[in-house]
Amino acid sequence: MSEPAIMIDRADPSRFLEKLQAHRNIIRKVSWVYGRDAADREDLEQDILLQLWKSRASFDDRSAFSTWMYRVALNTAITFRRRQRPIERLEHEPQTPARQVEQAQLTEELRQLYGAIARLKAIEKALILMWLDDRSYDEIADTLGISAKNVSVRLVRIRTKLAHLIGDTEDAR
Amino acid sequence: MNDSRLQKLRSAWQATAEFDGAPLDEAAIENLLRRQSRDITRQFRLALLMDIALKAVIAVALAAVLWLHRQHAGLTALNAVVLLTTVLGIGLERAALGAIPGGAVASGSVRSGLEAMLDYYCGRFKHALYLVGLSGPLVFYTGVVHYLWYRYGGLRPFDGADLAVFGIGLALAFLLSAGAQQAQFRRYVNDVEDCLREIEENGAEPVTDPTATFRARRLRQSLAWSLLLLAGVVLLGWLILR
Repeated sequence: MSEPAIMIDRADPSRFLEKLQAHRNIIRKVSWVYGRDAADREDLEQDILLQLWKSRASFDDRSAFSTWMYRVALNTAITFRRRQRPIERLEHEPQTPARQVEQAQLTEELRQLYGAIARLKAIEKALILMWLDDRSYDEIADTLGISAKNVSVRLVRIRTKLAHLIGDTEDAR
Repeated sequence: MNDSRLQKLRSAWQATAEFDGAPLDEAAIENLLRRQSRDITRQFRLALLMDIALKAVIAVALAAVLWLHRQHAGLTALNAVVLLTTVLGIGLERAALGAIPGGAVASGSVRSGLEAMLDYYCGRFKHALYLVGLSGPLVFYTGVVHYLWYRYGGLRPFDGADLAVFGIGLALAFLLSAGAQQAQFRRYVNDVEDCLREIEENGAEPVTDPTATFRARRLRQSLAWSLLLLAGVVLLGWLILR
């Protein structure tokens, strides 16, 4: 996914915030994939935003802003301290205000997709998330710290696993 | 379900509407900075800061003990050692606080971030947690000495039974305090280890267990602490029975 490199003026945070806003969907998608329930996702989204803000000095202008965002967001999501309670399946969560907003934003098929992704392991989620977003194997490999070949092998397996999980959900309906 | 269905879902995913919430500004970021984050580095920081504050209070109370018992040479020497240990503990915990992995780790690869977190936890933070665990016996020691002073107007020499009760009290305070601290972060470390193992498993690269070094280090540390505890119990028994 090509994206023009940008220059972030460290003394002027408004440009940085503009870029963050333009790619806000990355934060939302990562939170939806890694959060256990609506409240968890909301907390995670805010933690990712905060971490992006605190890490802004580490942004290298030569790389794509969205790639950098993915790195920070995934690092935060994977080490995020989840509340110790059972995972709620998307369709069985209680109707809190945050949950109602989420439901309005998701189509039925996306809800199905998120439900299946929720059953993957942490690193599998990161791989499939970036694949869904059409990121190159090199970019995924760089973000996770594994080889591009490894990414390609794993993605074949994870896609098969995900297809089965979605199939199971459809069969159960 | 076939791959074309997955591709269709992928297209639906990519067509997700752009974020239409409130735009970000510096006031919104200020609000975020004030909220209680569940970022693990914040939990590390909080545990250390709270203990530094507690140890500072203990140090003041110990200084008072030192002043109250200044005419008692043996107790003064012991109090001075305990006070120095407390101050040294504060220094080491401050050093651990300064070594918490920062923003550079957050923007590195997921693997390097997890390794840095595990390395920090199994190295500096875990050692600092034993120092945090020392606050329990320090509170116990300071409290007992203050109580005896105000109740009896001074301290009589300890006999075997006194030493046994005092020693057991100190050991229990340490075990409960250090155990609670270790347990608090155990689940998080297990999660990080699982992720690191997952990064390596089922891939095209040779399979190695990246957590083996950390587990070996943990085993060595547990053995060392067990031996130290055993030596302490033997020493206490000798002091009581001699």
